[in-house]
Amino acid sequence: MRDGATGVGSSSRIVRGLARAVGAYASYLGRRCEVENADALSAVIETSIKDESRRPFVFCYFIADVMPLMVVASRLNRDGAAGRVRWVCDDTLGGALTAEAIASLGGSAFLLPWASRIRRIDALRMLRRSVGVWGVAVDGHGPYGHVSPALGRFLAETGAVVIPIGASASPRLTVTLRAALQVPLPWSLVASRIGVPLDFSVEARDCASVLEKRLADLTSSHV
Amino acid sequence: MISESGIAGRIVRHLAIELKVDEADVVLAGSLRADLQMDSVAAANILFALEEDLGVEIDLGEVVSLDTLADFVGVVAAAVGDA
Repeated sequence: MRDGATGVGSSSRIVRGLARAVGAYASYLGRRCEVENADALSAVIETSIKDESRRPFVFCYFIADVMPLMVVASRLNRDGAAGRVRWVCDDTLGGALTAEAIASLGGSAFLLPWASRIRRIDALRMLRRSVGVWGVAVDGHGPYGHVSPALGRFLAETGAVVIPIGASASPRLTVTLRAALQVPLPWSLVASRIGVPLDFSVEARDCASVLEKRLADLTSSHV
Repeated sequence: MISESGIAGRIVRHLAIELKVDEADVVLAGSLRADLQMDSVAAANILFALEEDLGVEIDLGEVVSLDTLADFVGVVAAAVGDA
């Protein structure tokens, strides 16, 4: 796993073990499940990577979709697309678990310090200056299903092209920890969804509520 | 060079915009996190806006806390003084 440049977030053996199990399950599901729209997501990521406008591209999703998205990502991994996105995770237990699972699928995570506000702001500064392609769960600390106005403004200030994405599994289990997470089953149909990109450099509207609406539209279109 | 009270005024303006509060509600010693629900991303937004506004880069290396208006004034004044 690649840490944020602050060098924090070394995970415990238990977290790494759990994460490897989650990653292995996602990879197993990627082989067993019928996965819809993986090629479309891969194409959008490739287009973002090849963009020469020197602007960041940010894939945003709700935390509820993280497991189905990992299943889709396990398919993308075969051609390397997912591995070129830096998935931003907090260095909390859940974030570290997600980051390790992403790494076990061949992806790359950027860990944001959680406990130290100063180190977190420094890491956010680094992220703000990056011009790469990254992914963010917009509701990682709740309230779930919502985008905070501060995050909306942060994304707008980066001049990023923001691409809402989601994924659903049907049938699925719903595991409610702090958030209600979708857990696909080996016979699930897993479908990824790509929303209409938002260009906040030309759209001076309330970024958070616009993004939240686009993400909610994706969720309501789930199978 | 801009004075500390001038810096405080600019910070209050950015805080009010970011947190959607009245400037009069921002007090020097109050906790911005507890009193005004300023999360870390909002704090970062305010800091970055101040950097652009004042043309300085704020080094957080020695900063212990960034939770009150006084904290913000301290780090920004140090950055302006170093510039």
